[in-house]
Amino acid sequence: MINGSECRCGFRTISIRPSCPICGKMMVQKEFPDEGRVLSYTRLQVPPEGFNVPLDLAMIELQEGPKLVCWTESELEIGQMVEVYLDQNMFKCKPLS
Amino acid sequence: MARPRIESVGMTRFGKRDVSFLDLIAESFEDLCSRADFQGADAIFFGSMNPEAFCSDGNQAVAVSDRLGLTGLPSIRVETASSTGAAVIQEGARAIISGQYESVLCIAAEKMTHLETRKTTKILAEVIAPSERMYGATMPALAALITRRYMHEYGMTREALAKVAVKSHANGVLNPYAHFQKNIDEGKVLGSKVVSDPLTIYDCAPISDGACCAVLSSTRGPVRIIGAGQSTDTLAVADRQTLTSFSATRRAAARAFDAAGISPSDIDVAEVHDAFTSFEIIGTEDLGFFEPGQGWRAVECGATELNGELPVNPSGGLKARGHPVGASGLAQAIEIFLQLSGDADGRQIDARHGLAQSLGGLANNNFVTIMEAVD
Repeated sequence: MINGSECRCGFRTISIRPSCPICGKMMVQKEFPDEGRVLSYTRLQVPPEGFNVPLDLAMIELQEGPKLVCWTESELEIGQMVEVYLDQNMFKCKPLS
Repeated sequence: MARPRIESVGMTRFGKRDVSFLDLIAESFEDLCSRADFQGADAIFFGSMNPEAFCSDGNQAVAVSDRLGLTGLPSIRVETASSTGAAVIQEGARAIISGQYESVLCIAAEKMTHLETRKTTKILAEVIAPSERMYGATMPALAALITRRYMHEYGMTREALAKVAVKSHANGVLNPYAHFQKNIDEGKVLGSKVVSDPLTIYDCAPISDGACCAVLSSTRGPVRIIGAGQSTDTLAVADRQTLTSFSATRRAAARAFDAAGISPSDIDVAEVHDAFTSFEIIGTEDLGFFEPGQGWRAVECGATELNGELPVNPSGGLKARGHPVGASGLAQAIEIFLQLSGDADGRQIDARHGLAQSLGGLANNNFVTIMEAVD
């Protein structure tokens, strides 16, 4: 499961934050399933200093709606189902087998 | 409601310029004075995204009034990331509408090329949400995620993106202020170095130096500002409902068109924030010129070329005019001024209504400004 926040207005995010960026109401913490689908991906050839070259990034939409940018070590396709997991406190994703 | 006018404008050539930040600003002001008689102003509205980081200089609102010999005038710094130049002209316009000032001097500038590209890229990436920046996401990386998604949803071809860059460069050839004044072909774009796939280096606006300025007046000038809109979006791209449209542009456009009392079909020429080629296409859809998913087809059929039904970025856009980040928004409005006042030389379009759209950060502080030629 992945820790995030949910608002009564329907906004969901994987960050833990006190108030909703859309409506300003208090958000409650919520655990989201760690499975989702690939919205997009890219291989960045000129990452900032201190990052792998090249750097494989993906945008994932988790099953209950929140989205996140994470790393991947896999070849991805848009729409593919993936598992999002923590590796040394950083999110990565890999295709569901 | 009073509608402020643009009286006169000035610019430096954009590009890699071996002069200081303040000298660039002075050069743009000299250009303004050489084009028209400067009759003074009641206040200065100055914009720059990050002179503190790029140039290690602070208190620049005063440095500008001091450098231009305008000590004593109120001078204020405005900043909204890469839309700073658009914020400057909208704030200046608002000050005139309020009735407090008869005329204001708007100035926007950035000096970036003296730093190593890595350092500049790092400063530019500081506008990105920490939750995305911590993964090494840069502006081109986030733009690439958006571009690939757009291609997936709407079937856009890689060639259509290349056509945007080819068009921008062709227009830049006709603009003496442009960073790049050289034609390129599709093969050049497609074969150039990949920055973040599917985007190549020719899909990305360059790092440039440049300054520009404009005098706004309550009564004088050949162009009127008839509509202005601004809207924000979430800091993180991942927190948005869609990747293929920028809701802050849609809200800003709705406000600007409502104030102007005209519709997108009335616009004869537009300057759209093409920090990346795909952003020009998304921009033309968010502004209501084309339906979602149709912007790339409009590029393919030549509708946005100089002689098309709606010329987009006749100046060369951020891509070819160059992108001194804080200056670009004002430079866009200046291009619309030149087009509407008949001063756009070899790239002149027959136009009565023009629009400038500017994106702040990764499209989360966006401005739309609509202008009209005074009869």
